[in-house]
Amino acid sequence: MEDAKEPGIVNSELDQRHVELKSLFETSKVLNSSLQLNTILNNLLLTPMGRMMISRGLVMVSEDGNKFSIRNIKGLSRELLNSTCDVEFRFDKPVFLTDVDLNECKLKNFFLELGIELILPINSTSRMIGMIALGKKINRSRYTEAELEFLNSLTNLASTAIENAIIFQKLESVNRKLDTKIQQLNTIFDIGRELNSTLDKKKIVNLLVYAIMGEMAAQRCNIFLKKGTKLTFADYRGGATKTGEMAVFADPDLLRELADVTKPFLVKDTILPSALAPLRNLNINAVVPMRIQDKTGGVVLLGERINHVDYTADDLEFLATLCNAAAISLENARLFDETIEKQRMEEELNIAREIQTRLLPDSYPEYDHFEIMGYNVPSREVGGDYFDCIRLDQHRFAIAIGDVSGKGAPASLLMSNLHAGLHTLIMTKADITTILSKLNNLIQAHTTFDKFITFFYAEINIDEFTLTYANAGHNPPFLYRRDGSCMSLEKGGLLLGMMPNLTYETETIQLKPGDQLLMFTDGVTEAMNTLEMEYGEWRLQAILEYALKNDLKIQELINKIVVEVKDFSQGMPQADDITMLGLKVLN
Amino acid sequence: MENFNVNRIDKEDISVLYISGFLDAHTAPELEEAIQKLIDGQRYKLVINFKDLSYISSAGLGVFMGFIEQIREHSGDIKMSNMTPKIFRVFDLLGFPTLYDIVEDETLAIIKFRS
Repeated sequence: MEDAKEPGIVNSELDQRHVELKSLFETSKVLNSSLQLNTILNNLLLTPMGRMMISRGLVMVSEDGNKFSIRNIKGLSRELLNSTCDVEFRFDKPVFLTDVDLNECKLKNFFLELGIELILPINSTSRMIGMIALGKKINRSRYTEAELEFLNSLTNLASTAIENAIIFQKLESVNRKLDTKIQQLNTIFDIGRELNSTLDKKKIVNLLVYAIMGEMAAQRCNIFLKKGTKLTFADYRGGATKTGEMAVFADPDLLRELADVTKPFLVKDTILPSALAPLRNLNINAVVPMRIQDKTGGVVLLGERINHVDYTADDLEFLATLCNAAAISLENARLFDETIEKQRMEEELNIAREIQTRLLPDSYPEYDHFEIMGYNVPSREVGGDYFDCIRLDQHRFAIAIGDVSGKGAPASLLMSNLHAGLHTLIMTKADITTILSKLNNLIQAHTTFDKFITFFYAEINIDEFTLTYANAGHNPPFLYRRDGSCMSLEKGGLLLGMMPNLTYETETIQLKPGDQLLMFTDGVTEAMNTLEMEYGEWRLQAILEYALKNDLKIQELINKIVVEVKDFSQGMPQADDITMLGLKVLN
Repeated sequence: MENFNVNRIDKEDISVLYISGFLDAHTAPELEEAIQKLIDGQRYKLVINFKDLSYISSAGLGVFMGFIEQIREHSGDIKMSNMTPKIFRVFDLLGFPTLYDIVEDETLAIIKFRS
């Protein structure tokens, strides 16, 4: 091919010039058609290297004007790529390193060692955005003026393109971040929708784990959830759980510290309390709390990401949002379970209420000369108040009222016991003293010392118009006589269930037409108003006097008391069971 | 964008790269990558066959400059063959024939390695 080197074809000044211009033209075309920094820098280095037979070169670029990093390299060790240094040296035309003062350009020796001979600035209108460093020409000839001029034109052409590419790169990185954010928001949206559509705890935890591991590509993920007041290990994904690890995760000190975590943190950036120190050995990189209403309802521990990239602040924020959403879902599931449980208990109590209501009389024996009426409203679903009216034989009937200590279900159990005991004893045709003594022993034997019953029992002989009673510590019933006097029926003995083998006194009273007997529990007299005043016995007595004067039927009397107590308490919730039993002797 | 392709055939310790299409700043990285791969595999005897190359820019020439020292340090070389007159003219204008073996035919380049 030696023959191609004929005079007239090569070495002509015109041809040289032609190639030079063509090269500049092509370069400018490439530079302006690309926003990829690397393509531009490739062109910027390879063009002079090819044209002037230079075997090594590099380009440094600065994004902020101070830190310059090596962004492209030819004919030199690739390890130099992306190394960064501060460059204070500013210049505006090609400079040979031999002409540069070491004090001015600290990079001089570094460049000389790399075999760099010439450096060229890449200046934009406002600042130096980079420099090209070129080695010796391979034929050892010096750079000519024309070549320097060419290089200058080249860098001038490149500067705008580089500046644009830097901006483009920044935009791309911002876009990437935005895309990541959008992706994460979509995930939160998706997961949020899923989380809201389930009340299954296991499913919620599964969703959380998969969202975290999918989005973060975490190698492992441990979930702890609060049970009562303590955190317990709930779920595990990724890798194998070693027995040693489970021991660490069961450590009460570690669990206590985790329960106090309020913000997500990176293990490597945090000074850990000693109880959490084992996390480092377990390859845990991030700790994210599941927060709900300013409380930590659980904690997620995350292992290293598969790509070994650290979790960013954005990632932690994303994880926290995800964990909080799951915490709310879990709380909803818990509340739902609780509601179901409450409903079940309410249903049971309603059944108990029904049973209890059946223990109380729903109708009363009818007599020519006696009106009887009872009333009972427990403060809760079921109560401990008892009243009864039982036909004994053709001459006699019994009335009774009782109040079991305490309220609600426990009191109602004892009340039903009292009911059964009394009915059984009555069938034995025992007298009043025996009935109360045996009831006392029965209750005493089967309850603790703090459970007792106040009880009033009376038998009425309809032929003889007599009332015989015994009072076992119950609020004395009021007997209003036609003549306007009032008796408290107090004879009897101690409360039922306090101590065994007690005896009870009885008293017999001759009844007269117009007499009114009112038996009641302390729920009536101790009903409170908003000023914390009690309804009191005197108000009750006033109504009884009124009833006597106006000759109210027993039903009217009971109704009047109910209305007055309700008015008195001004909407205060009923604190105790309210029970009354009234008896009126007719002409 | 014009196409550029590199195909490689190894003949014992010599690797022949067949380059075709447009070699400019855009496509230069492909050639760089192909040569870097050879160097990484410690193959330092290269023949570049230019038979199907339709265009080369200064940047394309720059690729060869970027590797030549390293290759020669390992007693290797880049030899070039089968250039069309148009391509050769570019090399010639820039003085490459004084530095590189540019021969008519691939076989000749291989013989030169052997001798």
